[in-house]
Amino acid sequence: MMPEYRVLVMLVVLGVLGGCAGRPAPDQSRGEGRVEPVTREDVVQINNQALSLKEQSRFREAATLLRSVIESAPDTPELHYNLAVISELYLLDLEAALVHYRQYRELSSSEDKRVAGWIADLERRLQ
Amino acid sequence: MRMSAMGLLLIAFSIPSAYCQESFRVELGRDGETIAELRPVFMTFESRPMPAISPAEVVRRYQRLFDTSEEPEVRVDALNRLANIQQVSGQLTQPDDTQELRRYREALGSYESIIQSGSFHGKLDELLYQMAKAHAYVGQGDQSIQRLRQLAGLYPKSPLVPEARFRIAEAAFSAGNYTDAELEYGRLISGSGGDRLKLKAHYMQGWSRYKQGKDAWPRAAASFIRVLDQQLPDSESMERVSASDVELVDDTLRVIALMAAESGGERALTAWLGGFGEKHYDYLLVDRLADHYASSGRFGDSVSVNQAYIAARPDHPAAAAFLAQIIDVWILAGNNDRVREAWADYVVAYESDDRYEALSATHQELWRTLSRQLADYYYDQGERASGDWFSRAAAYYEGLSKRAHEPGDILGLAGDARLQAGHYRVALENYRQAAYRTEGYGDAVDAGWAAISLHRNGLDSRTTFETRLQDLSSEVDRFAERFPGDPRLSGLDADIANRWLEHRAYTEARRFAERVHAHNSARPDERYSAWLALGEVHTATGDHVLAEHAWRNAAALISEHSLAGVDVAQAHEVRLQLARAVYRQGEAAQQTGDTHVAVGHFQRVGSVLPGSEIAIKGRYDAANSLLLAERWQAAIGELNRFRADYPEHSLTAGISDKLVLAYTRSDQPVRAASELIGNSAQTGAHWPRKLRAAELFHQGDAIDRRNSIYQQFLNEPHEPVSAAEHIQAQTMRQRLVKSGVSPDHFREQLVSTELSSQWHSPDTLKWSASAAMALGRMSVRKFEAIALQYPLAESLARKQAALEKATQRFAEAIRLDAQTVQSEALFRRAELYRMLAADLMASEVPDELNDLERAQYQMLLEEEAYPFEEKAIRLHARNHELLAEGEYTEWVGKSLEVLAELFPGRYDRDVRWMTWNEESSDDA
Repeated sequence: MMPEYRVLVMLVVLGVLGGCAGRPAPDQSRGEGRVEPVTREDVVQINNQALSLKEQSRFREAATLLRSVIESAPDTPELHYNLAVISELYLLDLEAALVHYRQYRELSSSEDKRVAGWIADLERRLQ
Repeated sequence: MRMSAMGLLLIAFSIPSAYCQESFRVELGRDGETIAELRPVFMTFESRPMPAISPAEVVRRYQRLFDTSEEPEVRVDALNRLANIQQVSGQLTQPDDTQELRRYREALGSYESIIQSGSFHGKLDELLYQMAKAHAYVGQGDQSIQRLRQLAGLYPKSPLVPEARFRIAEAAFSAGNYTDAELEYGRLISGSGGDRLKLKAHYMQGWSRYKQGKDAWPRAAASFIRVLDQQLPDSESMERVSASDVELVDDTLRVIALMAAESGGERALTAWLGGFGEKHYDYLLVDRLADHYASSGRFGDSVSVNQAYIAARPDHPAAAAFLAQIIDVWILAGNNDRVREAWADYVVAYESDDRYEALSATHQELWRTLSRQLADYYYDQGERASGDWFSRAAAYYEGLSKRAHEPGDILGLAGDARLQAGHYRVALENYRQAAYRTEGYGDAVDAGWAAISLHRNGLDSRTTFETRLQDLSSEVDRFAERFPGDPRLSGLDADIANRWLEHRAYTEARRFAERVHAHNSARPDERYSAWLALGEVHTATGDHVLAEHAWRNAAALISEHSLAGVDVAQAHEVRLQLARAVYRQGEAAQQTGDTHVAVGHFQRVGSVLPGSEIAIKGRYDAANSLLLAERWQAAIGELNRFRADYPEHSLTAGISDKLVLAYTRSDQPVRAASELIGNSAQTGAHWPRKLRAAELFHQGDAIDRRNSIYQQFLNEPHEPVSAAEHIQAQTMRQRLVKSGVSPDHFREQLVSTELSSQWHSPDTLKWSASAAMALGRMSVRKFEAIALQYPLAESLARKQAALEKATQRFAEAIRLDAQTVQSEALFRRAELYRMLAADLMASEVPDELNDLERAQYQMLLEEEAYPFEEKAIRLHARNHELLAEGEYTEWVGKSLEVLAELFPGRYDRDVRWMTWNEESSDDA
């Protein structure tokens, strides 16, 4: 990951977290003039953070967070999966859901029949 | 009668007592009974100087010589000397008549002897003269005249001739031969005699002519005028007339006057004189003529001649005397009217200052006396009858005042007269002059007071004098400055103060009222009047502190003294004014925000006039002041005491509202509400107060009491006529619902009222929507409670009816407040259908069915249930689709949960949490 992406991701994360009332701000020590690559830990943290937002019915914020981290870690299938679910059920953005279900399928090492069915249903509903 | 000027003349003409030494005498000095009998006064011829030795001794020696000598010349000489000595020495040497007669008879013999002898060595003219004298003395008048004629004829140049001619003329006069006498006197006048003798000749010639009758009077007058011309050659000669000539002059004047009186009066006189002014002594003749007329009872003629002279010579020094003489004539005539006219003429004649100043002191005094008499007379007439008497009197007083030594009284009288005549402005000036511009006038204060009275009477319309209160004030000020100690001033000042007060001229009213108190002698009633005026002034000018002071002093005077005209009612009025002054102080303090002071004043009113209306109002306003000051608890106490003390007073009706305010503002809403409830019945329209009370109960958490009012109100028919009333009623219903008071009942009212109302508010819509939802949920519970039993149709119908009812409520809720309830309503409607489907599927299968029939029946149930489940899915899906509007609610979440169950292929999704060990975990 290029240093520019890390900075961008961190800024998005900080912006999202800043809008989360009651939640502790993430550790910002890494953003202080130092450019570090997005680590696995970052992705996990951001993904779970997005799901926490979803639990609080802050669906658009969750999707935004996921999209941002996907920009930095596009190869993480869980990110695509969660973004697809949130887009489908809570944002009613079926096209985005289809895109990210498909990317999840492509990144997944094993075939997920349930997801395949959902893709098929979405493709049918979007026709 | 003799006028004063004539008196002076007489003084100048007075005859000295020594006038008796004359050598020859003709007694002609006494008037007869008629004009024809008039005689001239006696005449004196010459006198000779007395001898240096004792006259008696000389007489004795010559008498002895006369008696002893045989020589005629010696005896004649001795006789002459005796005569001379006796002439100059008087009575001491005068022989008695017998002796004298003897002496001259003997002497005549000697004279005859000398003449006959022709040997006389002396002057024969003298001898003839002596013989004439001797004949005359012994009574031989004819012989005496003969000797005198001889003397004049034989010795015309003799110095004895003039005397001889005089004696000849005198003899003719005495004999009544007036023509001869005139002739002889004329010869003497034209002859060589001395002036003195010629004077006497003129005089006697005048008489001679006079005796000849009226035709000769002009000639007589000419003679007499010659005498006067000679005796009085100029005006100063009046003072120089010798004592011996006084009677001559006087008699000359007299006889001219007599002739004039009988010859046409002043016309004749002026003719003889050549007109008035031609002779400086003409006034003496006029005086004599006027005097003659007066003494003869011819008063009119007397006055006329005087007036003629005055007219001709108005500036003559004697003109005043003539005017005065006119007065005397009319007095003598007893004609009072003419007397007064004469007075007036006199006064008018010397009205001007220059003419007055020219008068003598005596006449000036006369002028003043006459002016006063006229003034007094007309004043007296004015008091007796109508007319312009007072005006005339005033004019004389005013004229006199300028010349009186002490004009004060005169000016006062002039003022009185002008006042009586209605000449108020002039009267005022007279009084002022007497009071303020006349030094030493003892009654000046009364004049000053009269001026004030004049103004007051005019102001009070007792007279027609047009004056102003300002003029009266100025008059009073002047009086006060000049007579500060006058005891009437205090009452006067009080009167003026009240007059100004009537004009609302408060500054002046105050000035005079305060001046009353500066008089130590002011009586209680005067002080009382002044205090009343001050009270009114201060009240009107808003100075209520001073007003209280004034009213309080007035009240004190009432209690300390028995004041005339002050009855119980007026005393009460004063107390009332005092109370008002105190009350006004309270109002003033209240307006300036000094509430503490205001309350004190208001409460003081009661101590001034206990139980009075204003005292009650004071207490009421004390409470109001406390309210304004937001001293709530004190105000509450005052208001409650007021209501307790005056339960029937009209102001008490307002107490309740004030208490409500005080309770409310002092955070005692329940008491405020109780006050409202407690008095609501008194007001008639009680619901506004009750509803306000309910609101206060609400604020004070007295929920039950509040709800009671709400229920009473809502149980009565009230059709709202405004949005506010609608909202108010809906609020009551909402609160009742929240309180659990017949909640379903009031929910139904909330919903139905809101749906039918033209007015809405966010709250009423929310409340009614919530109520509809609650009612819907209740219907849902009823729906749930209905079991589908065999026969299915009947229970299903009831269940469907319950469903429709619930659906209707949810629809109503959505109409009322879709934003709030739409999601829940959709969820609950979806659930109704899902439950109906489930209940259908789980409904009781009839026992009489066999297995096949049971299976077919079950299939039929599923077929019946399926559409309801589909509808449930659609409704949940619609609820889920509300997410498109961006609003996620719990009811959307619940619908998603149900959809996940009913349509898992589309809605059953798990998210995946990630862990550090690179494995994600799915939500369950």
